[in-house]
Amino acid sequence: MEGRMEGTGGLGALATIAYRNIWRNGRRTALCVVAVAIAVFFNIFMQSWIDGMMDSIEEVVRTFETGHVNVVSSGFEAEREYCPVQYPIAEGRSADELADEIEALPGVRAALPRITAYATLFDSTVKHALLWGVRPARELAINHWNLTDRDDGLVAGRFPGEGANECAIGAALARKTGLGIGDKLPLKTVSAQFSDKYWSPTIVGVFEFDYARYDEGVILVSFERLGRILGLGGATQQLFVYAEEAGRSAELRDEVARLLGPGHVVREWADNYWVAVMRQSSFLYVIVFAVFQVVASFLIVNTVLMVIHERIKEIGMMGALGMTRREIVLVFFFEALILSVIGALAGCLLGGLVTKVGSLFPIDTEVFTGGGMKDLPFSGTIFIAFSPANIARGFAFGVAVSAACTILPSLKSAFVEPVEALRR
Amino acid sequence: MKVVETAGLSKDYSLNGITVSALRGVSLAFESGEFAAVAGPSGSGKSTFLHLVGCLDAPSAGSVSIAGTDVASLSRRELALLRRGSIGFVFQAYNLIPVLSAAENVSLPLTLLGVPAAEARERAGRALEEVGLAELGKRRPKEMSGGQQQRVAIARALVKKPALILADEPTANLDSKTGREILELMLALNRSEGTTFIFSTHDAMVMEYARRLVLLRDGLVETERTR
Amino acid sequence: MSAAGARDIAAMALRNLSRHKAKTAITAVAVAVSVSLYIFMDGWLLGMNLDSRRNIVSYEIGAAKVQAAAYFEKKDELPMHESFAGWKPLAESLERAGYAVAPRFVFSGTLYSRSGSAPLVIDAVDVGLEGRVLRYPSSLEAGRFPAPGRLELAIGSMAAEKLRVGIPSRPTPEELEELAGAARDAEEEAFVRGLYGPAPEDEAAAALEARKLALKPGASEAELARLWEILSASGRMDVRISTVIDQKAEDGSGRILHVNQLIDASVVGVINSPNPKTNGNVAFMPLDSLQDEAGLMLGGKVTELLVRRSGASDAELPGRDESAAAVREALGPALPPGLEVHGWLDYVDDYIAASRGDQVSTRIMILMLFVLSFIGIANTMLMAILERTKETGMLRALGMTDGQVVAAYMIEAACIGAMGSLAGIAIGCLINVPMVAHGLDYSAMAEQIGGDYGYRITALFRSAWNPPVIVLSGIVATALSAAAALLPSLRALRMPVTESLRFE
Repeated sequence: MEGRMEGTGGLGALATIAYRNIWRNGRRTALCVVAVAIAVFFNIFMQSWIDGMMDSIEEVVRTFETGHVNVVSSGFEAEREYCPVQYPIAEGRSADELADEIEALPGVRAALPRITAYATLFDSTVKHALLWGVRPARELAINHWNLTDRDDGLVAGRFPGEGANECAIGAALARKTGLGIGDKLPLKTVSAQFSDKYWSPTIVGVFEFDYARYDEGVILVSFERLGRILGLGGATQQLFVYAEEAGRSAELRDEVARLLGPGHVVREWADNYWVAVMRQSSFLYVIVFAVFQVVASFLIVNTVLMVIHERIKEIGMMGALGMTRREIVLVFFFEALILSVIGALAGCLLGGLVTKVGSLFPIDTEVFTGGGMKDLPFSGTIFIAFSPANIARGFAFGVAVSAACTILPSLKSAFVEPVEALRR
Repeated sequence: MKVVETAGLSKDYSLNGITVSALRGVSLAFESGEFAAVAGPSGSGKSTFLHLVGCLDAPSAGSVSIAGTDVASLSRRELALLRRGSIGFVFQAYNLIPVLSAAENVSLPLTLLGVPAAEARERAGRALEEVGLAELGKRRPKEMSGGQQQRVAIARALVKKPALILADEPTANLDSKTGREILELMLALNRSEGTTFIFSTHDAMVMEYARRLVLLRDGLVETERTR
Repeated sequence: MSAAGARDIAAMALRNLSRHKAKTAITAVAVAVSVSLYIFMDGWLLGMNLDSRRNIVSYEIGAAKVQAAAYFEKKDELPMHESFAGWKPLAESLERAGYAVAPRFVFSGTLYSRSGSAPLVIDAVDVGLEGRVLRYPSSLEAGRFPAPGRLELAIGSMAAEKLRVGIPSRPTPEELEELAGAARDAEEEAFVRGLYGPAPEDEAAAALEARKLALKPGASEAELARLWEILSASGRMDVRISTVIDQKAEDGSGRILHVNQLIDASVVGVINSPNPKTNGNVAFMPLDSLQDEAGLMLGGKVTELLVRRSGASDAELPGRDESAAAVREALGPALPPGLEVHGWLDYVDDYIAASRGDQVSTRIMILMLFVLSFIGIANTMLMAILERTKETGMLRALGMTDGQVVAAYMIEAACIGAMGSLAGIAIGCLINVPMVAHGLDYSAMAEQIGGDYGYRITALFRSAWNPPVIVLSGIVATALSAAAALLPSLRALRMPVTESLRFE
């Protein structure tokens, strides 16, 4: 016996044999590759589709519902459904003072005050709407309001001036009410002191955010003016804090909470119900993907089993040549692995191509909401996400599952006795 | 030096509950450089004897020593390594790896031994030259005749310079002219390289080539003669 | 082929299956996975859709609606000015034809309770007739249905909870203090407190991270009625509706006149029906209470008539005699110009879109799984046939016809498919049993979204049995399996017999 027997120089030879073996039956190889490719493609495509929806939900949530970090008072939180205005943040302190203080924290891009309140409309076929008190210039320096076109969303006129007796309304609201630029919009809202406030701002702009809830029911007004009407005395109902990096939201949340002290509810955007639900359900998709990948791997499993059976004499010969059982198993395992790698590559190619093309075409969400589901925070148009990370993950997942599935059948070759095999 | 030594070698097979004895106590010794034939009719136990000597199978009773090592004490893995380093095989059905070219088939044992690729290629080329197939290194087994395939098999057995080459009916699948050529080749290699050959056969023509002839019948040594 | 010949071929096919048991089993498992998932998904979709459809018909719409054409065009905007008068003769002719009819005036407004306000859709209904068409009037969580002629409301349970009217079933300790504050004397306070106990520790409460109390499960009707009375006396049930009455100008110019209106009313009941649409931001009021200046100045006008066959079973979906066409025909010349009849499906675009979206996406998913299984069988048969090339040659040499060879391989593949199908049906049915009996709880999501998610199911999404699909999925899987053997076996037959015999 020589001393170099343990060398790993044989690994390349084993891989070569495995690779050449794949081409011994082209049809069989093609079927295996197609099956793995279908599963990998499906996974990539589904994941991109889900990501597209997630991106839309997350972006809508960050823009309209929470910001990166959302600050409200505990009183507001308890009655959030009807947008109470009698519970401002840090009562007695002005919105600007608070915003300055939060913006002084490292990593904060902006702290934007907003007020939302219900309004009852008069002399109109539309009976109610939401007043949205914001500072358009500051908001638009941070956010796009139309997430599809990535712009301010204005289709006509302009946004109301600071403190002005003006408003901008959603395109759908304008259509339903029959009102346009220059018209008065008489409405009633309830102040922080529970008194009815009658207001009649002039419409100076019409916007289309491609977010049904806002296009149909929001009256955009100046933050200052709304605060004055509602008797907030310079305070704000909500603060939307935007970070330099969205990923640091959780840290920022804790810092803001420390700064404001008790009596406030400070949330990160990822705490939003829909974002959380979407994230939680992702494990379900992993199960679905796994089922697909396992069913596809069955083909490779079968192929390995058959191949071991077919080449039993070769296994005998390999044994006679002095190959150890581990080396023989590796030949078959490599063969299965190469099959899954080729299949996964094909699936990635197809998946990448389809998601790339798909990501260029907008999908109207009306197709699956039918005009209902207005509380679901996603914009009217979503795009399939084209993501190299998804493709890479699809590849790794496909190869990993197939490899795991084929270890067992490959081991079968270790139980072939060379002498039995040679006698066949 | 004794390359192979067997003592009381027996092998029983169980076929559908009936025990069949293929070998019933064979004690033989082979010196380095021998050119020996194990002959006998079908079922005499000659293949079993070669398999046992080649460490492909474990005896029911008795012992096998290769170059002084009793193989009974070796693990499966150690047996594989022993075959890898010290024993070459040539089979009746050639048993080349179909997806590898002739040269690759021949260099495989060297690769398994960890010989660097360039050296393995070079040695495989020389081995092919020795069996007269220097030109056909790139061919796959399917593209070669039976005689050519058997030459490749011999080159594959020879390339690692084993202590022993076992050939199980190496000419049975070949016509007599090609069979003779293969035997001449083996004999020449035995002379020039000093490689020990033990081959089995039931063909009288083949037996003539052997310097030492062991005749088996029903699992026992019937006669033994040396020329 | 003789019967005996066919039997022999089948027997041979079966034996061939046991040659590679592991391979056969794995291939069958792939089929089983597809079949069982298909059965599960189909049962799930069918369950959701059946329940949704029944709930739409029984709790929301009935079989059809009579509306002004102009109203139907803009129905999503609830254009109350497109109402119509003189519904009674229409109702009478439909009653004569065997239909139950309920008139409605639908409008939207803002409801102010003591603690907040919310936009609401209010259905003004004929209290006497409504129950003949729809079932929600008897799905009261608390209180009673409004009485005719009075400014009373029954309100959806989710809106009631938000606006803090009605009897809370899971109040926070703070809310209980508020309830106890409603008591007029110590005895009443003790009674109110006595009705609530600590909430049983369940996952829902843990998820909300809220300490909550719960209404005692043993509370009697009389006790609840008394609690309602106490809370009502404290003003908790008093609400104000703020809306705008839209009317078409009498001069025929098409101009819409607006009258801003405030209506004081009290909540007398909370609706919690199996259809989430009745439990969201919805309230029901007696139609006759809104006729004059204190109400909506309706003057007998309604926005729609709901129609259902009289005495129709809730379990049944509307039949052909309840279609829009049948109703239209029953009305005949009684249907004035400008009015239209539309079937219930015309009113539930959101449900149809959600349902269709799910149907298409899940079926595509399962179809892909079927394709994978099919490739699996094709692969298995390809190998089996290749492996037996020599045998096939021999069988042909023995005089087996091409048809018999193909049949033998197809039977073999069909057997794999049948084994997988049977296992798949068994597994699918096993999953279906708890899914039909218990379903999955989606109530947290239903609450978040205010009952607006297309499907008309409140909390439990249940599967339904669909025997034809269960059987058919097995048959299709078996047939597909058999088909998978066709190409490779035909290919094997193209090889001359002599060559097959020499094949290694």
